Amino acid sequence: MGLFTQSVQVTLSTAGQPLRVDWGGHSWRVCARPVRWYRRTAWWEENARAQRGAGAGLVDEEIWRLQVRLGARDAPRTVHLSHQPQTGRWRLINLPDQAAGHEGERRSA
Amino acid sequence: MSFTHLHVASAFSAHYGVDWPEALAEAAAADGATALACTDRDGLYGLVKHVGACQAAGIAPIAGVDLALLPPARPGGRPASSRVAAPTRAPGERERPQGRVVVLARGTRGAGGLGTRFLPPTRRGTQLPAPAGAGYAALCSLVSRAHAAASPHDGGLAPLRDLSPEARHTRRPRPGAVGPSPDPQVGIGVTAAQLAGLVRAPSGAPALTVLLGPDSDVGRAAASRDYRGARVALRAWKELLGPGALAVEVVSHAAEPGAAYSTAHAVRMLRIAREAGVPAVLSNAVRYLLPDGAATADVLDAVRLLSPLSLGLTPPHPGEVLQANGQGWLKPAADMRTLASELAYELGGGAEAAVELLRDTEDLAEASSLEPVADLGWGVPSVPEASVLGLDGDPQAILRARCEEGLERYFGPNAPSSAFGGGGRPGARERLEHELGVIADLGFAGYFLTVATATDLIRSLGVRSAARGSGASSLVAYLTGISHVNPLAHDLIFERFLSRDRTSLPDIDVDVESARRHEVYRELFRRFGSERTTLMSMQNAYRARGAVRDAGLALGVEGEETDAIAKSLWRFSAGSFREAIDLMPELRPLAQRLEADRAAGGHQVDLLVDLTERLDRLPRHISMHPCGVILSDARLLKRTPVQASGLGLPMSQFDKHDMDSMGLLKLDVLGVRMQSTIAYTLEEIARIHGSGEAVYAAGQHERVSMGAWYEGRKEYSGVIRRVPDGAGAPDGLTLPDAAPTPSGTPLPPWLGEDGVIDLSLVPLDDEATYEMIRTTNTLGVFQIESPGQRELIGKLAPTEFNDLIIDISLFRPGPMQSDMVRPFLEQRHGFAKEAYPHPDLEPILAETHGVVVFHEQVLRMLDVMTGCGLAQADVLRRRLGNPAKEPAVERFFRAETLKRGYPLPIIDRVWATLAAFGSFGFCKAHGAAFAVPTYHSAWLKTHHPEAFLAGLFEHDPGMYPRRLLIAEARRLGVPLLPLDVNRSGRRFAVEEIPGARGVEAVPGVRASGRLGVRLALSLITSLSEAEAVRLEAGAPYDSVADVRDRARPTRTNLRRLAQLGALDCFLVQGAGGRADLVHHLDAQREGVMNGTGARRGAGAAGARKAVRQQVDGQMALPLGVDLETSALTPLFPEPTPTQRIREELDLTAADLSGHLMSAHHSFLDRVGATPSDRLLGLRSGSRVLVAGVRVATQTPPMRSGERVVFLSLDDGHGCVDIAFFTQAQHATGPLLFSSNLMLVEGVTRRTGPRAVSVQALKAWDLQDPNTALPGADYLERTEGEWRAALRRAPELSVPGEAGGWYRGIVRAGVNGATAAELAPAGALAPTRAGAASGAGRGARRRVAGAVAGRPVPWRPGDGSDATGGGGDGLGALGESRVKRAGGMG
Repeated sequence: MGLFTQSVQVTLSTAGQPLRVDWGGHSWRVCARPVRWYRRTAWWEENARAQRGAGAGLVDEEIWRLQVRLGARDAPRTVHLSHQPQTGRWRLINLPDQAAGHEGERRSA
Repeated sequence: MSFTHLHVASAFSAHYGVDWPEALAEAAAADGATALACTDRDGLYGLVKHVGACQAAGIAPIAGVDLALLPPARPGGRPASSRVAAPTRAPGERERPQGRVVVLARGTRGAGGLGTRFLPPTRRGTQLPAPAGAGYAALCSLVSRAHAAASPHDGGLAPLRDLSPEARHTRRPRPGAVGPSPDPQVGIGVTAAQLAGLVRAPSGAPALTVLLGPDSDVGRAAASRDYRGARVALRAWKELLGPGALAVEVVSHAAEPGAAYSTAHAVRMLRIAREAGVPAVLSNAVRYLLPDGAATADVLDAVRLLSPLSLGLTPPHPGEVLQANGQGWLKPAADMRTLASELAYELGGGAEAAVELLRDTEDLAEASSLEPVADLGWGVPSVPEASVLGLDGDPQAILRARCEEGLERYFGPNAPSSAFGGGGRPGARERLEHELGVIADLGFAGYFLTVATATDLIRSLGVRSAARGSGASSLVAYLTGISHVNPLAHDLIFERFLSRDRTSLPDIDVDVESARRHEVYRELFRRFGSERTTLMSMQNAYRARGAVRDAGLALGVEGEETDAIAKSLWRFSAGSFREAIDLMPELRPLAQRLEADRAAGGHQVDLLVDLTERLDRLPRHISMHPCGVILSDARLLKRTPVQASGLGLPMSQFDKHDMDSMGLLKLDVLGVRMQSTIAYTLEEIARIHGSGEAVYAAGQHERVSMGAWYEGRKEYSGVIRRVPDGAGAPDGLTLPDAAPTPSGTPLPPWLGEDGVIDLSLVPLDDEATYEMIRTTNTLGVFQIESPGQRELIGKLAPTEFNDLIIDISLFRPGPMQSDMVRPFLEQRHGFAKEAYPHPDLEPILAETHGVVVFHEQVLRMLDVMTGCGLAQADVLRRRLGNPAKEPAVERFFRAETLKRGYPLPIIDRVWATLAAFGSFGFCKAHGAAFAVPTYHSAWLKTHHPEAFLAGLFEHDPGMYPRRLLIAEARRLGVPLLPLDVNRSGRRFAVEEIPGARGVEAVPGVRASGRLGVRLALSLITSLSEAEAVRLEAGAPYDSVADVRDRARPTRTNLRRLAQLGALDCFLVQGAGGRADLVHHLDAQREGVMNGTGARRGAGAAGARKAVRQQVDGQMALPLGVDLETSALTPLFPEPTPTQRIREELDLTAADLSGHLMSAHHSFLDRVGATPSDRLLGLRSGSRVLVAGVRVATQTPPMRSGERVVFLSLDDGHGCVDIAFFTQAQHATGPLLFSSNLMLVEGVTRRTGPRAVSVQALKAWDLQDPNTALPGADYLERTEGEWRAALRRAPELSVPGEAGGWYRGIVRAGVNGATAAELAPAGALAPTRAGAASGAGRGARRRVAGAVAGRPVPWRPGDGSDATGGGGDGLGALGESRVKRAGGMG
């Protein structure tokens, strides 16, 4: 994938939605409704094994797009996280393609 | 509120779905669902199993299908594409479907949608739902129509696309397939108009509901944000289908925003639906049960599209992309509700949007819930209407009348007493009344009359037929001509076939001549009508080899590589591939490769193994069941969808497991090549001899026994019958002087004046035939030609017909693996005393020497000891072997037997026997039905080997390749007359050899040599049918030119004819020979291709003319001399025998002029190999080298659980059977399964009175140029090492126990094979009387070991063999169809 990834800590709401993201000593607050999707991976290239019963997380990865900000008056930033349900790990990833304006998507008819 | 999944593909969606209906239904029920749909792709393949699974899980079944939508364009005014019905469409041009839709059938389990949006009131008021069955019937019609769409030219029945594995991998279709197509189901689909035509019941109520999901035209427009297009399309659908029959299927797999199947995509569709006033339902477009299944789905997609996974992300065609992600699993209700809320939120509406979505989903589920009996006719037997059977009146009365007729015919006053069996004459009447009573109670008279009509039909075509299976147990079947086995004479039990305790239709199978079976099918269709008849389908599942190939395809591994791996795989399930790599010796190289790959950081081989395991047992393709014919009443096509079968007749999408559930009558009409062979043989016999007398003389039918010949007496005379009718002549009938029979003696009843034999009248006690069988030279004989069978026959040594029944019944994994056969053989040969647990059981078990072999015996045992009656006994028998049901049977048995006063130890013993063998028994009726053609084919081989061989060549019935039969012909001394354009026809024919001196024929041993078999033109694999017809029709020819002119073979084929010697008859003494002719023809061909002498542009005709001009003066003038060949200069040397054989193998797949091993003879001599026919003469336990062409490979289940590989090699002198135990398998490696010509070092062992086999130590591949073959005098040179190894071996046991019998080759095991000097010197062979009396007395026995070459005697169960005995149980089963594409799985 060639992405820059870094491990982060995420605090979830009772409904399983991210509330806070802790990284690099700072704690960002999620300030808009998170968007989640599943992106398929080329598992036949990346994985060593694909045995039956390997479970979820082989074919796709769970991606979150969050609007976060440090403080109430700071400008919100968009970050993308990858979540591994089996290990519970969250990683910050950089998705250049996804950068701008799918927010606009929701508003169009 | 629960959630119902409405769009679910099961594993029966080939190359699409992953999980079985049972698993899906169970999971849904466990999650609290009340219903589940099965919407397989392009058909209802999994539906019956789905309905059964839902019933078992306690939920309602919903039926649907996922179909492609074909142009004409979307409804709504766009110009219709002309592509669909245009006959000018190029074959193979893919129909670009306009998306896919899901269609659900309405059901009557619930209120049918009353009060919901799916049954809105019409202008006239409240609609009533569609009546029971209407929804399902419409669904069946729809699916059938979708398949008819695939080839509009064919009157509605599409030829099956080429689904063969070969086509998938080479992308070259087999001839006859319609165009290369990656997706085997291309072209299948419906137009919107067709949908509209079926969507409503006659009453106007909706019978079907169409779901427009993300893959529909509406969905695709929504995906690309073409709102206008989507809205227009949806409106058009609404108009076309009317209210209540349409819904939008909202699916979100949470794909990346902007992509298809994203939440945004789903929201768009939801919005469009609401705006258009169309109900929206939520589904998850399920393809697998759990998230893990997504990877398997990816692999299936790659295989379906014939393109590696890596291309799947950027495919050449849109719509052929891999799934967006792995979220298409059977998500629990909670997840789906969360999803609904998310969608509602994104929609901008409140929570009501989610509530409405979920409620509409459940409303549609309820409206589509099926009531199996009312909607599908579940479990209700259906037979053709009486009027169709030509019956006027009560079926039961008509059946009785037919039976009375039969009774007169077969059991009339002139019938011999043996025909009545134990019950005597009154027994026949009693039995008939009993059977008719049961049939009347069950209401099955119509069934029997249907089957009788079918068999009448077959008989009227003049086709040989024979019922098989438990149907042979029925007297009614015998009397109405359905079966040809007399159940009274063979003591068969009706209840094994049918009783009041059964509720489902019985099963009757009929064997017919394979070559004419299509004729039979067509006649059945014609007679019963196409609305009542269909063929049946079957699902072919992935096995290891196919799974590896397809997994390799998905990973993009080179075809050759996967091919090599696939070829070394043998007979284990794909699912245990990884385990097999660890265990199987022939996979060592692959295991090593795996290690190397991992060490280098790669993972391709690991992935290959993983993906192979994932494909295990998934359906690979559907094909026509080779024999099933479904006969039903006129509602058939409303109860099953049909598709093309490839025969021009429709086939049901249901397979044999679905028949019972749907109450369908299935008749298995099996094309059995042996029947064709037998028919052909009889024709040839009549043709070549022309008169009954000649047939009788040629077949030496006056000889009763050839025993003297076998014993080696010089002046054998055989024992002669006095009365040439053979009927009831006891074995060994002797006459004081063997006077020749006076002429004018009447012919026996089975032989006509014209030389036509009626096999049904041939008595079943011909001693010469049994003698032949006992030699185990049974190649070509039905059922008993496999190496394992030959071994068993050798030991069992049949002397009468019942022995054949027993042999066939014993030769199965159950009895062979458990310890059934050994005691049987021991008791039979008098080495052990027969023991009956109780005197009551003696009459039942006497025929099998105390061993329980037949189901019928189990029935009688249960009945005698518990008084439960035969009907109940059959019910109990079926439960034996079922761990869940057996305990109840045991309780009943013990209770009843105790009541009757049987002592407890006896009860224990009998129960132990029943439990052990009850489920292993064989239906004697089945065995009897099989034993008949076994006996007939053996009888024909014994007395008329030439005609029988011609029949074998022509119809190729057995497991062995034709070349082995050719070798058998040589062995028997039947000359094979070479290909000759003036004599060879399209079929193999018996020909008299004028002036042949011949030898005295010995029935069963050798032929006279005066009759030969002329090889047929059909041997030349490249010759087309048309060419062969012309060649045959134009004979005789005067010259090569004559052949060329009148038969017009292609130049290449003419050259092939020359290569094979078919033109040798035109060669002139002193002029050029065969090789020169071949070169001459080559030169001509090239000349033509260069256009020499022809005007440019003259084309083929001009070229031909030029050739004629070239050989001007050599036109086909009937001068009696071929001017062309006489002008040949003898330049080239004749091909050597080896070259000749090689050419023959290339062109005909058979070594015709000599055995192909002859090329290796000098090497084999040098190295000291033993010809197969000399093995019997060696001492048992001799170390030998044997070699040959592999003709069979088997890995039967062994008692020890270890795998033993049995090979048969043909070395031109006969076949040698070789067993490879574990150590030998390791020593041999992958060539064990992949090599065709082998040299094997091993040790001989006796396996029967006249049989021997070899236990392997190691093997070499004779064709591999890189192998280091042993040098000259190998055995002598390695003698020292060998003895040393023996001394180390622990298994030397020469017991001094009673009988002095030695343990021969010991059991398989890690220590491998060792062989001792097997008998102490001076041990004597016992006589049979001595054996019976000497057992247990410790008498010393000595074998004349001093006599060189005298074979050491054998006794069953002495552990001297791997298949029969004291050690590790039996084996040698499961024939491998080596010649048939190597068992590709």
